[in-house]
Amino acid sequence: MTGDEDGGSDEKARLRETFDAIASSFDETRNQPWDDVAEFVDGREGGVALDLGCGNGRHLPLLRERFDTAVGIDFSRSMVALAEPPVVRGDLSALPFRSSCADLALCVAVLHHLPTRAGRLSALDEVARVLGDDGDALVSVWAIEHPKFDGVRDEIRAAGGDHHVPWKRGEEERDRYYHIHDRASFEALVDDSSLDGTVWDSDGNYYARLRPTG
Amino acid sequence: MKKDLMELLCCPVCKGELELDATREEDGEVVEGTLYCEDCDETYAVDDGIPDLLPPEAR
Repeated sequence: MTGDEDGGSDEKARLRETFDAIASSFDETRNQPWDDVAEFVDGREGGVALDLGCGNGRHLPLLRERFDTAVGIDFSRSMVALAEPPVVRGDLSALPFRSSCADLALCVAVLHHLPTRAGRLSALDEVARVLGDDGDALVSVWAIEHPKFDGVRDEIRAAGGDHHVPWKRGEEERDRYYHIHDRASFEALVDDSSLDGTVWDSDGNYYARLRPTG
Repeated sequence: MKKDLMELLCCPVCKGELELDATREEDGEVVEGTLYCEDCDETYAVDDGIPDLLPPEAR
């Protein structure tokens, strides 16, 4: 069943269980900031930064070097427990942050885990809501051109972008839901949201630097 | 959680104010407690210093 068929709630609950289960091994291999994120944050400073879908908090130290406060949020309890506080458990499509409170937001490698387009769109609209007038956000998703998808690209396209990626660690095997974007579908999502900006690709990901529209 | 985090937090559903009730504090930080939204009549937990603000339908 795809995310859209069940309204996404079952898919999301399964994904949360998976992230709760894999948190510690995830943490062993994913504790360095991404180059593209470091570049986006470089030279910036301000009061409040938010890391939306912060996972184990890999990008929080980078934000805290430059912002008075940086808060991470993730839907996986085990993931946020690994991150340095302040962190909050919550849902990207229903953020518990006040409107216009943030100078900068990151939403890196997380939007593609939301199982419905409506959910992904409401997450972008929530990013727009929490950003102040001069705030901007860096949003990234996995691109279908990523070498990881060599050999399965046609299958992913036939499924309308819905795809499960296995996570293997010793004997344990689980899979995680992804919606794999091509450039057109990511640009269309941004166009339909309350955010505006440019999309580029880097290292098998699409990135967008976005500001609230009007 | 530090209490000044409340300046950034709101109800995930109605975006209204949350009322903090700390039941255990250590070194000036809230370890256990609740966050209550009066408009929604909904209570959220602060557990081991982490506010759990998943909307009720996502729990």
